[in-house]
Formats: sequence, C-alpha cells, structure tokens
Amino acid sequence: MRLTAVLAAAAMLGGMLAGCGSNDSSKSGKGETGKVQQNEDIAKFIYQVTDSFDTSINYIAASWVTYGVAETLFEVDEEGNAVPLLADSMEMKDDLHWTLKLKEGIKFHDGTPFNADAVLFTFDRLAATGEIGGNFDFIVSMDKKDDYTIEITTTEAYGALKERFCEYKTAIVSPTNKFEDTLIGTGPFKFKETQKDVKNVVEKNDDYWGGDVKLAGAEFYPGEDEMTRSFQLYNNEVDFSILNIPITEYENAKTKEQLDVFTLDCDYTHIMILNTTKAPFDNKDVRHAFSYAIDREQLVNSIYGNVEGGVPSFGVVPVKYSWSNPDACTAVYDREKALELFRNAGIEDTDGDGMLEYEGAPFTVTIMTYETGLYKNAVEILQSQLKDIGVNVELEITTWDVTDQKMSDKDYDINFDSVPFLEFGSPVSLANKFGSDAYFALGAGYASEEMDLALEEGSKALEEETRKEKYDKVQEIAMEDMPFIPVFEVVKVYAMNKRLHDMDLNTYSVFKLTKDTYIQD
Amino acid sequence: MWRFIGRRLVQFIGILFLVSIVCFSINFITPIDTAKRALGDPMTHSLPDETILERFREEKGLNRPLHEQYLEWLGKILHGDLGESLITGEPVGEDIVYHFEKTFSLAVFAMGLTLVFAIPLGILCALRQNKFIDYIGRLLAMTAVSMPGFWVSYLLIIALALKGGILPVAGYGDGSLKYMVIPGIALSLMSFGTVMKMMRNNMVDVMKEDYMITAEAKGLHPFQIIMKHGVKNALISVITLAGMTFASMLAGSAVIEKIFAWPGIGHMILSGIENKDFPVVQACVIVVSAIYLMINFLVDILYIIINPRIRYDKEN
Repeated sequence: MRLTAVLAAAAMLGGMLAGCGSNDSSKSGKGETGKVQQNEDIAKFIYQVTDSFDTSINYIAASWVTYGVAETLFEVDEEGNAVPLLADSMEMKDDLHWTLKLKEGIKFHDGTPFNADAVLFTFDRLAATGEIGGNFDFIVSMDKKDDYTIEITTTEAYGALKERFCEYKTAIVSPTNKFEDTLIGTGPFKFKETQKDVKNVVEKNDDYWGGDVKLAGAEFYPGEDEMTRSFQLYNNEVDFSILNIPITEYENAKTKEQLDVFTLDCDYTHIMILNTTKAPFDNKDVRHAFSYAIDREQLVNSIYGNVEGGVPSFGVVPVKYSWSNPDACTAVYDREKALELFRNAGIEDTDGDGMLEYEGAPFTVTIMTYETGLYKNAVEILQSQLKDIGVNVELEITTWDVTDQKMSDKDYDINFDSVPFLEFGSPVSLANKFGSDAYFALGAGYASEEMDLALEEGSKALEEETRKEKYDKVQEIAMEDMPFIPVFEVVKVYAMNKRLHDMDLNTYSVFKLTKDTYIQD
Repeated sequence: MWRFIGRRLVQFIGILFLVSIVCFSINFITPIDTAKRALGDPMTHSLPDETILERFREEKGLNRPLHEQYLEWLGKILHGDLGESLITGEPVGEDIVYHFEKTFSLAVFAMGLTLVFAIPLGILCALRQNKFIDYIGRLLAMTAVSMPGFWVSYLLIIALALKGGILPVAGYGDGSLKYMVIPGIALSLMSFGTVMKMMRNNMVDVMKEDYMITAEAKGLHPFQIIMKHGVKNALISVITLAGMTFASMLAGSAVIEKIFAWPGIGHMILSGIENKDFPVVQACVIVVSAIYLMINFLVDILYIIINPRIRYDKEN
C-alpha cells in the first residue's frame, strides 16, 4: 500500500508539474486541416541561440543585426557596396583622417538619442573586449566633434573603412545597455520578451526612424537539430529557419505546397590547409599536385546530388564577387598534371601497384576535419579521389578545438576546413587568411613578404581600380603559393513559408528582417 | 538504520570529492586554451591580442597553480557558488536551477509513463507467461530497447505531429503538457523495455515461491495474492532500476533535449561542452553526480521501507 501511494504521488506530481507553466502566450490555433496556424502579424523563426546579447564579444549575439534589432553605420547592398545606414556620410579628409557624419533624429528603443556618444560607446567596448573576428587597431582614435560628427584617425591609409563598419559587431548600441537579457538598438524591432533557451520575442518599433514597420513582431525559437527544423517548417510551426535544413530534405521540402525551397551560397569556401612546414607539403609542386588531383565537379555532384547550386571553387575568391580574379581561378582537375608534379617531387609509383611511394614507403597523408555538416562526406570523397591517383589517405575526424591545437603545433598533414575568404564582401578580410600573422597562414606555416606587401597595398589603396589591381595580385600569389587549396563553396538548403515576404536575402548570404518584411497568405 | 544512513553519507561525500577532482581536471587535460576559447571567434578563428588574452587569464585566475585554483573552486562550491560562465559571465547556479526544473518536469512525466505502462504490462505478461500476450509484451520491450532514441523521436514526430496534427513538433512553448507529450514518450521508451522485462521476470520468479502457494491455499482472492504478495516482492529490484533510470533522466537526455529543443540540463551540458565553457560543465557534472547519489540513497531507504527483512548491519 505504501508503495502504491508513493507511485501514485509521483504520477500526480508529474501531472501537476506538467500542467504548470506560464500562461499560454501562443496565439496559434488549429486550422481546418488540423495543422498549426499562426497569428497573421507575427513571424516565427528558428535561429541560432546565444546566451549573450553583447554584440561586441559574441559573434552570434551580433546576429541581432540581421533580426532587425540593431544596426550598423554602413550596410552591404546587393551589389556588394558599403552604403550608409546609421551614418549619413563618411568622407576622407586626407590619407589618415575621415569625417563621419551621423544621421540625426534617430532614437534607440529606450528613447536614448543616437549620436556620437553612442558610437564612441560602442567602439570603446570593442576596443576593451578585444573585438572578435578581426581587429580595429588601425584606428588610432575616434574624436567627437559635435553630437553628429566624429573624426576618425587611422594609423595608415585604409580604403576599406566603410566595409569594416558593416560588420555586425560594430552595431551601434545604446549606452544604457546592460546586455543581460536584452539588447537596445535602433532597428525596426525591439525586444519584448526573453525566455532563455525557449524563445525571444521582438515587437515592431513604432518610432523607427526608417519608416513604418509592416510586421507586428517576430518570435525566435531554438532549433539545433536539422531534421526537427525541417519538421517544424512542414508543420507550419515556423515561417523560416535561419539555420539550414539538411540537404537530404531538399526533395521532400519541395513537395510541401506552403514552402519555397532554395539554396544559398553561404560565403564560406571549403579548403584544404596544407602544413607547409612539413615535407613533402613544403614543396610547392606537391601542393599543386594535390589541387590538380581533385575533381571538384564530381565531388560537388556527389555531395549535392539533385540540389541546385553546388559550386566548385577554382580560386580563393568566389566568382560571384566582383573582386574575383578570373586569371587566378586555376585550381582545375588534371590527373596527368598531378602525377607529373608528384614525380617531380620524388613521389611516384615505383612498384607498379597503382599507389605512390615517397622515400621508399607508401605515400600516406592524414586529413583531419570535423564530423558536423558536410565535412565528413567531403573528405570521404576526397579520400576516394586521391586513392584513385595513388595517394593513401587516412581520416581523422575531430573537433575544431583539437584542429586548432594541431594547427598551432603544426602537428598535422592536411586540415579540411571552411573559411569566408571575403567577409561582408570585403577583400580586406583576405589579410585574415593570407597575412603572415593570420590564424590560417600561421597554422599552415605560410609567410610571404610578397603576399604581405600586396595585402598592405590593397588595404591602403583608396581608389577602387587600384584596390582591384592589388587584390587581383593577392589572389594570383595565393594560387601560386597555394598554402590552401580551394575545393567547393558551402551551399546550404533553406525553406521559407510562402506567407513571409520581403525578407532581405542579399548575395552576401544575409537574412535580414526589415521594416518591409510582411506576412500575407 | 541510522548507522547505514551515516555510512552512506560518508560515501556520498567521498564520491563527490573524487568527482570534483576529475571534473576540475577537465580544464587541464583537454588541449584547449580557455582564454582563446572564451574570447576567440570560432567562425573565423580570429583572436584578440595576447594582452587581452593574458588579462582574461589573470582575471579568471587561470595562471595560478593547479591546486590553488582547485581549492578556491571547491571552496566556492561548498558555499553554493557554482562559478560563472566564461561566455556570458553570469552565475552558473541560477542557470542550472532554470534548466533543471525543465528537465525535472519532463523526467517526472516520462517516468510516470514508464511506470504506468511497463509495470502493469510486466505483471500481465508474467500471469500469461508464454502465451500470446507474453510474446507481444516481450517483443515490445525488446523493440523499445533496440531503437535508438533519435530515431524513435523522429518517428513519434511524424506520427503524432506531422501526420496526426495533434501535437507540436518541438519546443518548450509555455511548458504545458502538449509540449511534453512527444519528448516524454520518447524518453519513456528508452527505459520502458528494461523496466517491463524486469517486472515480468521478477513476477515469474515470485509466482513460484512457496508463500504464493500458501496464500492460495489460504483461500485469498487471486487479485489479493498477486498484488499483496506477488507484486510487492517483485517490485523490489524494479524500484532500484526505476530509481536509477529516473536519476538518469534527471541528468538530462542530451539527445532528446537537442531534438525537441527542450531547454533542460542535458542541453545545458551539451552547450557547455560545445562552447568549452568549463565552469558550466564542471558545475553541471557536480550537480548531476549529487543527484545520482542522492537518488541512489533514497532508493536504498525506500528498499528498506518496502522490505523490512532487508537489514544492513556490520556483517553486511
């Protein structure tokens, strides 16, 4: 009897706890089909959850720019140009000085005025916290001249300043921010409610400086599992997932009448990083041989199948960008050329078994990569392709922390990774990959004075034509030295409910909730 | 009884102490620089200047000798301070409470389902041993045990949410029952098979005991024989299993919580591991270990209450 009582109490307790909860804030109801339908004015999204609202230290928190809460001084338009947003203009006084004029009459969500003080507050925080994702140490000072004018002094001529001010972590935030459970910005949407790891709710900013906001609000839900995200889209529980759905769901998603299914090139390129401090990768011929040995078209077709948009990479800057140098897109498949270059480096099939030998032993390399995403699929195909040419490949599947450490220790052969060669469409970010003090270059053991000079000249150049010329040279040097072998662009599959209109999907793979986004069945 | 409780408490403290040493050591066993992990951008691999990294290390005491760091950390734990997240800087303790209550509600619901269905089915299978219903029951149990949790979850979503249209796919929502049903069933199925089989097997053994024949000979009603004499004895080891299963649920099923976007402690641990947020991982491990030990302890007490013939003395 006592046992029965205990079990009954546990069941009752379970029932009570199950029934407890906050008031039902969902406005969803069941439609005629039994499928969940949604409030017409509220868009629902799946997004990448972050515990932080501090845009200056957390790269995911900085995504609140794309969710319409915070804004930057400049933004990238569809052609890839940096155009003013919160800024009114920015003119160069001389090589080292810029005058930044701010738009007037803008207020933060809490009524605090947007002005020079807010801009300085934001950049002071960036300087204090180490500004992730690149540094702004080329800025010597930012001095307030009046409430809407700031003079910027740089260490040297820096042509990419406007582009750098497009970066999300430079989103201008109110000096009243505590960053604990909300973010106060200037965007068309402001925070209404936050429930950690459950949802974030924003409502329209009735006082938005840019004009009327069509959408009443938006809700953001976590969704770490790819398949679950797909199911939620099929069940009309969300309008859009900012995180992709699996490639394997592409065909299935296309059968759902309520969804638009599309692919998007995510600005990341899958690359093979070669350890140039270690033989035989210190030999340029060997690096080129590996590049020639990869059939990128076949690899992309194998991975993406019927999914449209798989893009092989033949150069370091994706061809969709105007910055791409067609003369530097030389990473093509040529099996015979690969074998010839291997032979030149003393790697050849000496015993006629179809496998190459190096220094008397079977030529074996290890490729390390991650388990997530397409990494594992891709390296398995690479393994097969390289075996076909006679290279024995072992795979090491690990986490990015381990690869970080191995890159730092130079304790690897090849690292299969992905990088955004152009961040926010700006070629200045090539320095973060090829510069001799850049993480990737350091990890590859790559340092080139010629490359450093070309990068420096590119960042200093103020005329568009000159910048293009310099960055063309950067690409040529990169493909000649080849510390990284570009393989294919990262393309992801997305599905959006057709009732959602005017989400900003520009060519730089930015999904932006704007004042013009609306819902209409 | 009191001696037993005292001994278990001493064991409790000793085991927790060992756990604390192991989980504190995570910091130093893994080849990861904590400062780089906290301040770096994992997307572009960019890092702040070394001066900023060093300042972070100084602030967090990462440059101090290992034993000093451990003792300070242990001292804080004993005062209820579970540290601060490296990522957000917020107290981990509050986070654990927030996430644990979500895991608790789901675990209670799932355990309730397991007990409500597995125990009666186990009894029924035992009473109909080697009959059709017994075969079906054992098949169900084996199937439940064999299916991976993530696969079961997807099947339930398709059946109950997509096709059935009666329940949401995922999410915590407002914490009400409808959001708990599918993840609760998925979590319950992971233990349903083992509980049911143990109940069935125990009942089969108990039914053969002499006291069962005596009870029947005394003319007791069959229901009374089964429930009072049979089930009560068969439940003893099932309770131990159920207790440890419940403790396991309270530790948070990372797979279930990830699939259903359930903001429980399993999700918190997973995020802590992925973000290499060591204070979060350490605090969660300590708390989960304490929960396991506490439930183990309570199950043993319950064991004695249910079956007074069990004695824990010096000879045992």
